[in-house]
Amino acid sequence: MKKLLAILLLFSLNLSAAEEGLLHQWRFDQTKNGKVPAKIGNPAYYSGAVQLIKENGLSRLQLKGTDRRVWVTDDFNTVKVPQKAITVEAWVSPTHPMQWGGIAGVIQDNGDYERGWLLGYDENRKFSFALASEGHKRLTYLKGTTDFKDNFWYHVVGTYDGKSLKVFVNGQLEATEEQHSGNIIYPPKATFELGSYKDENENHRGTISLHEVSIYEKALSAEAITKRFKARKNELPLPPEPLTFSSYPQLRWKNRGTLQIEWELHDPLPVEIEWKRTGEAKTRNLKAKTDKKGLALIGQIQSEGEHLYRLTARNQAGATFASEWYKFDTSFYYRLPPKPKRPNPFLDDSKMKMAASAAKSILSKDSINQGYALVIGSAEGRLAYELAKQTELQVVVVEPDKTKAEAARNALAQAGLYGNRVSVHQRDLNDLPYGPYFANLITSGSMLGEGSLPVEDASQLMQLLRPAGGILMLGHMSGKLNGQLIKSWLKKTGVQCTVSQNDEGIWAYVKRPKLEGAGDWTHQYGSADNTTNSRDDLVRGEMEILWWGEPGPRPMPDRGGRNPAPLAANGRMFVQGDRVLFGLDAYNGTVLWTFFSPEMRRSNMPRDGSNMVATDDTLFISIGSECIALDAQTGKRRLSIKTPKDREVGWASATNKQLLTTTVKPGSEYRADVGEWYDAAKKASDIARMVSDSLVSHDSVTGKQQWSYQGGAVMNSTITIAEEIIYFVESRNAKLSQSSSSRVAPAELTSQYLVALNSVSGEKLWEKPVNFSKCENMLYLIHSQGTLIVSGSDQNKHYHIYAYDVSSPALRFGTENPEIQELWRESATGSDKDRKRFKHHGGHLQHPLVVGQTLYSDWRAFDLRSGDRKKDITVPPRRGCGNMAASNHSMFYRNHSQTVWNLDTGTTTILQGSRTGCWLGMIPAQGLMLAPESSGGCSCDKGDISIQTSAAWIPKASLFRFKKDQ
Amino acid sequence: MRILLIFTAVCTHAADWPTYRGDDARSGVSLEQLNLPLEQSWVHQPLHAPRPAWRGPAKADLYNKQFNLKNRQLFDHAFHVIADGQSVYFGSSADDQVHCLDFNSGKKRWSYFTEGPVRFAPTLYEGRLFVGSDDGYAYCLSTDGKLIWKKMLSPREYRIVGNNRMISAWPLRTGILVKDGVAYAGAGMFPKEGVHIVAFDPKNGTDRWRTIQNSWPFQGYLLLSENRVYVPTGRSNPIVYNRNNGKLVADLSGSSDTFTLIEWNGKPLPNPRQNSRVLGVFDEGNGDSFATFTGNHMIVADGKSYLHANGELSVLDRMRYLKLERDYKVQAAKREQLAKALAQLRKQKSPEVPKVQQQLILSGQALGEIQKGIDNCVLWKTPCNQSYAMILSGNMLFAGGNNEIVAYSANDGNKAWSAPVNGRALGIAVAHGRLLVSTDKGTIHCFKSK
Repeated sequence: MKKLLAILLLFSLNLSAAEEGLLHQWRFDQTKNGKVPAKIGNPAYYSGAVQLIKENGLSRLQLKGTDRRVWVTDDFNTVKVPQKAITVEAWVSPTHPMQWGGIAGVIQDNGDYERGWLLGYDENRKFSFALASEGHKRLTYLKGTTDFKDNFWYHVVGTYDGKSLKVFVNGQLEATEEQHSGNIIYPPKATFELGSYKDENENHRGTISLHEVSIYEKALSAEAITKRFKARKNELPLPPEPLTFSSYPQLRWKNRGTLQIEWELHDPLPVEIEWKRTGEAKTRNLKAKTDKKGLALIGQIQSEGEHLYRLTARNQAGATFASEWYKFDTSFYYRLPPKPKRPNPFLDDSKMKMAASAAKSILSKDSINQGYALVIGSAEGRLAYELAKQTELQVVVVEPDKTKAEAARNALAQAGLYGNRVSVHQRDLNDLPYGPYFANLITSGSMLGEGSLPVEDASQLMQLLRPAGGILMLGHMSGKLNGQLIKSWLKKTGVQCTVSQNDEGIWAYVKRPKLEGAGDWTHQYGSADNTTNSRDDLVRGEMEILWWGEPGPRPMPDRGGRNPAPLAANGRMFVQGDRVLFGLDAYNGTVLWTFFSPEMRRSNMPRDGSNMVATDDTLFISIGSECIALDAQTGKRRLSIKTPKDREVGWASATNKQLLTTTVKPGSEYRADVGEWYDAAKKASDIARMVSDSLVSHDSVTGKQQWSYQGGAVMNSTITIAEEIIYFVESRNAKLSQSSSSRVAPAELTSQYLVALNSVSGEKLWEKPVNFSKCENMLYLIHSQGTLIVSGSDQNKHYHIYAYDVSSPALRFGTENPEIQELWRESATGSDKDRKRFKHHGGHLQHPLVVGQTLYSDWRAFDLRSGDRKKDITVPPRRGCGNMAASNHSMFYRNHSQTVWNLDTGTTTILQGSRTGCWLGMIPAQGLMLAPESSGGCSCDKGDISIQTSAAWIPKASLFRFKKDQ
Repeated sequence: MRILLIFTAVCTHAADWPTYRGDDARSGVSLEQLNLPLEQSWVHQPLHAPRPAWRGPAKADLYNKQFNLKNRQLFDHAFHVIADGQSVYFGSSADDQVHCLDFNSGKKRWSYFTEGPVRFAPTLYEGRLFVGSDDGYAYCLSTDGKLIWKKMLSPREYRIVGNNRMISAWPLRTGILVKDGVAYAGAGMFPKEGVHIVAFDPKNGTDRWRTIQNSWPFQGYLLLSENRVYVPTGRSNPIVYNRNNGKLVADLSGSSDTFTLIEWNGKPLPNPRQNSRVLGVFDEGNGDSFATFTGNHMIVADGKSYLHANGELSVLDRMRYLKLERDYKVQAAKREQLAKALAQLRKQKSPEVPKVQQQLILSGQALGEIQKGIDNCVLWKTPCNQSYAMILSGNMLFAGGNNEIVAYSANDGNKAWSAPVNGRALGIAVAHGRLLVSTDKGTIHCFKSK
């Protein structure tokens, strides 16, 4: 009887479904012999290791984006598909966003031939429904507004009733489009695919879980969809409301097992932090007090692994809010191993007291705590012991006497410091084997006790001292040496020395200044003038390795995303990984600090600006709606500048006095999280340009706002500052202000103006109508010596360059009718042979450089002012997606390996074994070529990329600088 | 992870474990049969855990949708040991010393300071220890810890910061192998500075030959065959030198996780159906051949391949597999010929078509049968969650896991014994009735029969 009832019920359900126009329905709760039975309609098939998971009473089919596939038929003509109207309904849980994510579809999308329909999702976490109709033979991807969260369930529905296209998410109508009319149009043949985007020439395998998919040949009403959602919403874990931040979480190491996390909410709420190791189910949590600003310590974290964390909060009404599951990785801990607790191996005698006193004097003079110390003459290891005990320095001791060296080693090993913290090298003091610049501190144990000058030639030590702040501090406490002798010994090095004397002894102190002639790399393209040139005069000729080390590839984003360039100023380097930022000592590679923040990510630099900018003492980083000033040495937060509500920080530039930021619409920036390279010339999703709707000036020390500019849509990639004038290109297409995104297709950037503002007052100096519409792939603006250069390439990858004279002093004072002479323009495409030499992906995206009077664009060099082609300059061919970076004498670029082009000789040298990523990864600055790791993700195994490491290279000419100077 | 192994005929060398993975071939095979169960005899916990030169690889190749990229530079993530029945020796990347422990008690006998991290296990040869250090020197020590000689492999004494330590610009990161009275080692990181492979006299360090190249760094344990020196190059594939004259023989192409040198001296090659699984064959008089599989470790012994992948341990009847692969190749060629002939006959509308068609069907069936046989070459497989290291000792496979060491019977894959260890068991050695396990926390466990 029960069986009969069940049959009758099934029959009645089928009948009901047929009445409602249900053609196919798959509930993914069983698979058999490669088949997923259909509740209604045709079965689906699967291949590869598709995983059927049943947990908590819920079944799902999981696709992992690898070799797995689920499909109904390879030819949709063999099954029934909707013709006049359609509803595609699905319960899905995406694992992570994809540029071309499919849920269900019958599609062919070739750009010029678009047919079928697709319910899908994208890299911006939006669900979409695309369809081509008789009335509009284009697939228009109508996007919902919900930002989906990974691994939560969503009820996603796309409908078409012959007139309107609609997207519903979780029972709510999120988008409507009225372009379409008539029947759905299909290609002659196409696969009917589930869980992936697949047409004849593209196959983007999904990373998604499917619970149920239904296809109707009618458009369900909004009421019916809401009803269907409500009927099942309690069975599937829907995401909580998003927890929104006015300051996104920021994490810093307290010690190896503890991270400090801070955040700020819009409203005071009690926050709970949950965290767990990736792949593990067990979570730990802690509660923070109710406040807008929060600070907590995540403790007892397992080392060497990725962790997930999220913040949740509940308001007084009982509503729950949750952030995404964010990530941190404890393998990105680069401080020294811990010091074991061991007794002092030395006798507590006068020698030990003297060493302790000396260490105290040395360390109280400057706050040197990290990096390397060089101790000349061991003092049996006592001074090294004190320095290592009191700081995070790695101490290198040089001792000529074998017995003393052995005694020092044994004592320091007994103290648990030998190796990780201190090493003793037995060497002649007058023939030190070390490379330049490594020592943050140089002192002497032998001079301290024995009163002998550390080495005969002081220049030998000065060569080893880190520029831009390295300290030489030599003490003597037994009265054998006098100040004059020490001064005289140091005199020939030419350095400024301070000698002080008191009852305890005599101390000589030298602080090494910045290297004369060294340049900085403070902005994405060197400086705010965008010339891609540090003006470093030291980086020239043959290069030699100076140091290598962390960070390696693990924290870095995939190499292809055209990520922000590293920066360098005042002896430090700043390297942005994937949601993690590092401050390094540029001269010895010591990682000074590490800073995690989950929304700190920017990519596609040719269409945007970097999210970081450096000054001597500060690193400014833009994250969401704030630009944060971090102390360059410690990484500690100094101040934060916030945008108005509903805006985020776009481009930024800074000096010691001024911080300029722009505002963009939230969620617009590129992030390259699914492996985008952005190098297709015609692909709308690659070439859309980030534009800003305001430009704001602040005092960079106090954060106080000084002025703001609001005009058109300012193209971030064009903002250029030189000689207190800000230049940019903006579009005054009025429609753009209505757009929900700051990512704009080049074709929409009409009504273009070249604008100049006074950077101090914000006053508009002049504007000029322009038309750079030929520059379809990107638009760059740079300034050098009174010349503005505009460049870009078109969809045929032909470059277009425009040069303007802005040198007239009159232009500095503002005018309504500026006389801006177009100096030259160049639209030549180069020979096929030329272009082939640079055809590798990204060959059409090159950002120009200026060195001296020469403009380097793509494969050609021009006289900056006249535009005459400099045919005597042969830009070396390169197979690589990166951009060149210049000093005044050399250029650096990614070929198969890193490569140096010596501009003085025209020769090239390959730095075999290391490669950079697909934009600007080598910067000539601080007298060095700095190349933090950026090739990560390249899984090839050739010798060209056998070393994945951060490194610095020094010009051979700088190796013996002090000796040469004498 | 990548490991090169030479197929070594079962031999009866002494029960020392004189170098990393037991022999010049890095076979990870010992003849010793340990009587299970084992119990911990002693444990040595150094003050410092290893301080590896390299951390993990990138998390993913997003463009190619490759995830969980493997770390190809794990050589110094544990203190790998050697042992001779009197002592256990290891180098430390954290305190720059070579350490010697008493074999029976685990107590410290002596230590020797170098001037840089010692990332590789020493090699014991004719009563002498050979050790390389990041300071760029090869050291020859007596077994009581006295320096006999040391030799700078680098072209000059020049120290810079490398992997966050003050080391030679040409660190010695291949370990040292000695065979037939010749020692081999490589030094150098950045090819532009010149990277050296040196053969030298183990008695005094005098160069026999030296080759300098500008293409690869040298990092990873060396491997020797009859005629060749195989040099790992960090995250790239190994390169090969003639052992007698230092001439470059080949750089191995291809991309894989694990590969094994299984035959050489002109013996038959593995089947071509391995296709991408065969890295390459070199012909400079005699050829060495390789096989690879996607996994963590492979041991080739007794006509079997023991395959150690994440989550699974399996054994392949390699000899039968090779025979069937050859049969497959012959049958596949025959089938191709038949197919061509059939096409031709059809064009000619020949009455022979049905006959050849039938032959083609039979050939396809034969091919299917061979394929079934190939599939049945896996003698056994068993779940195995200990994926960090594997050796074969007697008829036991020892696998290192997270906080455990486990023995599986090589005959049937049954789990025979296990014991807890402190950390990830990355190094396993067997000598004189003892099982020695090294972990990423620096701990060395010694087990013996109860």
